[in-house]
Amino acid sequence: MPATQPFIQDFLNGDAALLGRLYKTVFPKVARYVVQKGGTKEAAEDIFQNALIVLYVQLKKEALHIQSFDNYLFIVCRNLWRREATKKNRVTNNNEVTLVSERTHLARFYIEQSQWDLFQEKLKMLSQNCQEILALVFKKIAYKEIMEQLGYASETVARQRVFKCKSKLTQLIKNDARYVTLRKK
Amino acid sequence: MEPNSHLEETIERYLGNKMSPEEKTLFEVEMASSPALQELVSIHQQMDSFYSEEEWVQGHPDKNLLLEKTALFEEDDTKAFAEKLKNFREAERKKSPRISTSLYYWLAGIASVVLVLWALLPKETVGMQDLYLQYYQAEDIGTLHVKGDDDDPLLQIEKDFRAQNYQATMAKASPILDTLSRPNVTLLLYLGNAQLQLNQFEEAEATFNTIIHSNTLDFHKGYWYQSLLFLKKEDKVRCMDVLEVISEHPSYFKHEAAKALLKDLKD
Repeated sequence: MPATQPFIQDFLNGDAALLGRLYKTVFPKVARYVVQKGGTKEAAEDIFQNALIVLYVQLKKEALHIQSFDNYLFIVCRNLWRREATKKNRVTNNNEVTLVSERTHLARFYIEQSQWDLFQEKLKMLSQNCQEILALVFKKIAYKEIMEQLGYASETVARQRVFKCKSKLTQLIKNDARYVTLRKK
Repeated sequence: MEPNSHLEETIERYLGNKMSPEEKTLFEVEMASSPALQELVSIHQQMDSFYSEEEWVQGHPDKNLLLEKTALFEEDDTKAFAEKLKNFREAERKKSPRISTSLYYWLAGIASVVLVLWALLPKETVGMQDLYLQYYQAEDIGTLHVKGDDDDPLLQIEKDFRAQNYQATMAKASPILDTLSRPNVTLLLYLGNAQLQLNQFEEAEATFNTIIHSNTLDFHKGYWYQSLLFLKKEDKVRCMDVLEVISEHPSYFKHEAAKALLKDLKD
């Protein structure tokens, strides 16, 4: 989605009508997701607000290749919630000290979200068959069932296929310049 | 380090906590002396996190990279944007009318009466529609986008659907489907969901049945959308029947969500 698009410019300008629409259409979905996962509506509001800030920083720096802003916003919220859910102590206060740490926290997530984008992009570059078998593997489906569902002759054959697909995916990720930039230490 | 299937399995067992303490220690010693192995394990760990709904793996980014990105959040325009959001949120909250204590008790009394009356009424309608809103996620359908081709007619169909232009979605999807020699599940899903959004239940059911009976790997996605269709139609029995099918197959699309929805319907 090019940053020159008027919609993006409105977002970067903090256009009240646009923010209102996002709160009306996307926020209810985020709230449902967070509540479904054991969070509160207030936590969903924090997630939504922080996701908008992360998107703001992303959009002012790079052209995001996304099909739907609303869907991408939901995905960012979902990932941010998943991250929050793994953290034991959530930062909720509003004093200056926590604001600084909150920014670092958002910066960390910004890097992770960029990695997530890269990983998704590379997965889509694999063959349809590889995407299907890996989808089952990442769902932790047993190899026996993968073998049966996808019609492989044996579990060993299915494992070999997974190995080849994962190796290809690993190479695609490693060969991308963004991976080196975003790599963990 | 060149990956091989044995190493792949070893990493899988390490990340899945399936190693004995001794084996784990040995593997970690090996990792400590091999940056290439560390990198491979790290990528696998991120794959597990990014391609699933499981625990989010937090990274340990390079210090300079983190400082650089943190600075973006400390720039004046970012702070101003965050402030705008905060003010917007507060303004939205203020729009909710505040009520006095006495009025609060009056309203509470009325609410109690309404609740009693509501309890006496059949509750199915409200419950199933609420569940439909809770479980229906248009973004689950997937993308039709072909990389690098913005003129792709399939992309236009997806754009129409995302813009809630369901008539256009159907008008464009049907002729393309007619020309295909093999079913395109994602395209069928866009068609079926457009029909579902417009409450064209019979047509949507036929489309989802086409998916279910297609000889494709994604055939099971049809079950999930069929269950949502019955949910929206408030046909509890058929909805539960379909959810039972998904619940019996862990590899089927939306298996966990189907189990949760089934439980909600039983409750």
